[in-house]
Amino acid sequence: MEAPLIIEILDRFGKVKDRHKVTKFPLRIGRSYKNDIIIDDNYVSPEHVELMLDGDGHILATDLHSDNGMFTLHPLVRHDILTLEEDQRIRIGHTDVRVRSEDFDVKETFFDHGKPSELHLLMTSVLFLPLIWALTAGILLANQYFAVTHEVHFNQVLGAVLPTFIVIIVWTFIWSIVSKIITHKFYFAYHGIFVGLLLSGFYFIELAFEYLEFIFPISGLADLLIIFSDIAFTYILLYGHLRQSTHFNKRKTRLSSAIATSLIVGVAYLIVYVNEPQYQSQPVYSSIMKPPVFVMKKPVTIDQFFSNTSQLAEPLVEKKSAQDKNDPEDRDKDAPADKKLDP
Amino acid sequence: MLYSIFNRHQNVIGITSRYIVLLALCLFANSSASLASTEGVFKQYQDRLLQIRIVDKATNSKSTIGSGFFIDNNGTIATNYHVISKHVFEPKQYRIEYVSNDGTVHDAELLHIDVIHDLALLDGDAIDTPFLKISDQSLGKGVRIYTLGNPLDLGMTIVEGTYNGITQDTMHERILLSSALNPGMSGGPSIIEDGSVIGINVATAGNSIGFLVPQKFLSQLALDAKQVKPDNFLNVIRKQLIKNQNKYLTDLASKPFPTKQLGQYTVPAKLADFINCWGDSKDGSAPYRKSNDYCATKNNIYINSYLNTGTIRYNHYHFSDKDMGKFRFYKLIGSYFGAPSTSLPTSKDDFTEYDCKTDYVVHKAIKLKTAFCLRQYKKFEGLFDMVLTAATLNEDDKSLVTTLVLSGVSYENAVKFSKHYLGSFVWKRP
Repeated sequence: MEAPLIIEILDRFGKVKDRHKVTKFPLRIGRSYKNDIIIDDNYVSPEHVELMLDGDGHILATDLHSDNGMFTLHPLVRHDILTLEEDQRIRIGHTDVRVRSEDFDVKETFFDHGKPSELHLLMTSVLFLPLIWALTAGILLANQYFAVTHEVHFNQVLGAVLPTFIVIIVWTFIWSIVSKIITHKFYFAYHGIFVGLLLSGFYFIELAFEYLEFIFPISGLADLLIIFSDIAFTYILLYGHLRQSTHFNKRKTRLSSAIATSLIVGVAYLIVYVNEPQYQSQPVYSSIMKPPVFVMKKPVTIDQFFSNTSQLAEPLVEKKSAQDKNDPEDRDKDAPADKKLDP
Repeated sequence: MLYSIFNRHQNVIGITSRYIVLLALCLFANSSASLASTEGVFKQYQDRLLQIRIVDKATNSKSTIGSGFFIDNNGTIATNYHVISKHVFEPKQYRIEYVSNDGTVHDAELLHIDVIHDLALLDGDAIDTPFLKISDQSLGKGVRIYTLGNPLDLGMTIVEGTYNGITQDTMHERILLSSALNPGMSGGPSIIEDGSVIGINVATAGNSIGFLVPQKFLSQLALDAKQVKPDNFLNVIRKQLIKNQNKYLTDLASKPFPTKQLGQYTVPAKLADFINCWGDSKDGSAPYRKSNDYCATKNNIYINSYLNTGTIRYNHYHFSDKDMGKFRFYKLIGSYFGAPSTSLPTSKDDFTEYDCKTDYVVHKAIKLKTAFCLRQYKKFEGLFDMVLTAATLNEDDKSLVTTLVLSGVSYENAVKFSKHYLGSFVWKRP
């Protein structure tokens, strides 16, 4: 390598903070203002490293007895003195230093100045937002209205829906602020449209599951399916918001959404599980009712209905005998009594 | 029921003044009528009377009290099953003792029980005991009856009343008595003038209405006790319950159910004398009309303070829509279909959880969403509680939701009775 050389200062995430073109060696790097290159990092010593050029044109880095030392990366090894290769990184404190020559290959990057996609335009459209929110509000109100089995008071219906809607608005604001801080774009319309669409979709899916359980009267079918849709919707929700609010690439966004989803859904279902009564004293079965036209399964006769109900009684007997096996004393007590009673 | 009040006051120290007043008034009213004869009866038979106590072994203090009497000279004591039920379920925790007329305390052992008629026989471990003989007379209404017992641990008392025949409307025969029965008198004898027992005090229904177990069941139990000496009483209860439910359910299901009209539907009505029915309808500000028919057995079988069984209960809700629309109307139907009122005991130690089956059933043009649930008695194998609920799906604006609850029945009878019940519904197309 020949002077001039470029010394790059990188933060610990690998992002370049500073570049210095140097011709004069030796040079010193440290936190002190006397250095040739001054580094703003508390973990770098006032005089940390000295770079020298040897006769063969190699750069020699010498640790100036710093507290935290000088390291090569991958593997992380401490060195007192080290010959640097082109493009090699050394770590001092929380800062990396990299040396490159003027000839370092930099390629052209083509930037597409074409129009953003239609979908992107729609999703960030300020006109589309009120439309979607009106749809969401309509779905929430309808959902509430059809759940009322007494006289309908519209203010009660509205009162039941309002908290959800306030949450939607607050949620949109939070994500807009997050994206403003991280990407410097407010994206209020995008976040609002996204959460509105997703919530509307969620209610539709939930309704679809109810009808599915009505058609196939399997106890807890809708509840079971809703667990899956809970997971899917939380994941999509987080992914969509994160994608617009951060610089994460797709893989990183997917990973963080998946982790956050499993945490949120996990904790939510843990709370549900903990609060579940240990002993269910009332009968539980599929009780969803819809108008007669939705009965699609062929009804059975009374005799057919009761033909295999013995299953309901059998497993209980097995449970009982399993208990008896655990408690041999009780079983022994029962046996002679039976003999006496049935001579 | 005497035992229900009785159990509330089983820690006898907490006697309320209300009962004392009530008792004093009754004594006064009756004794003024025929003092001499009542006094004579009491004097003559008081040595046959006993107080039965269930004693907690750990603290050695009484936990339940009742009355009893000797029925032979070998020290065999008759009392109510519900007096000694704690000992049956927790023999390690509770023992039985009795206090004779002279105040001496003796241990007693359980000989046999009749859980259906609420009777128990104890072995008092004594000889040459004075006893009351069991009557073999048939009585006419109005015959004077002397009821003996130890109400509220106040000491032996005698109450005079009149015989009012055998009640027709309880599942198991009971003598109706016009006399004041009070907690603690359970298990005591009711005698006629010649000193023979015509019944055992068992329950009260408020002011001067008392119930006695007819003496014939006591004679039968005494006979049974001579033949078998059971030592597993839970098994005895189990067998008696199975036999009993088999009898009354077979009787009921052997003929077509009496029916009545509810809207366009024909539904089971009052099935027997021992079942009570009520009706009610509502047509207020609600956007639907609801009429309700409710039927239940008048009494049930006492097993212990947590557990009653032997009930038949069914109700029909008929709904018609005023201005809800079919979606909301069927949401309403779902809320009734999904939460049947079972009014059954809910203890985890006694029952498994319900296991249910749901399906669509069609019967004579009626389309029903039907749920059939069973739970097993943990202590009595082969006995179940059953809940059958069905909601009709024939019309957009009218629906019938019916629930049948049977407690303490075998699986076979649950199915047989349910089939008979569902089969008795008819829908007339409007």
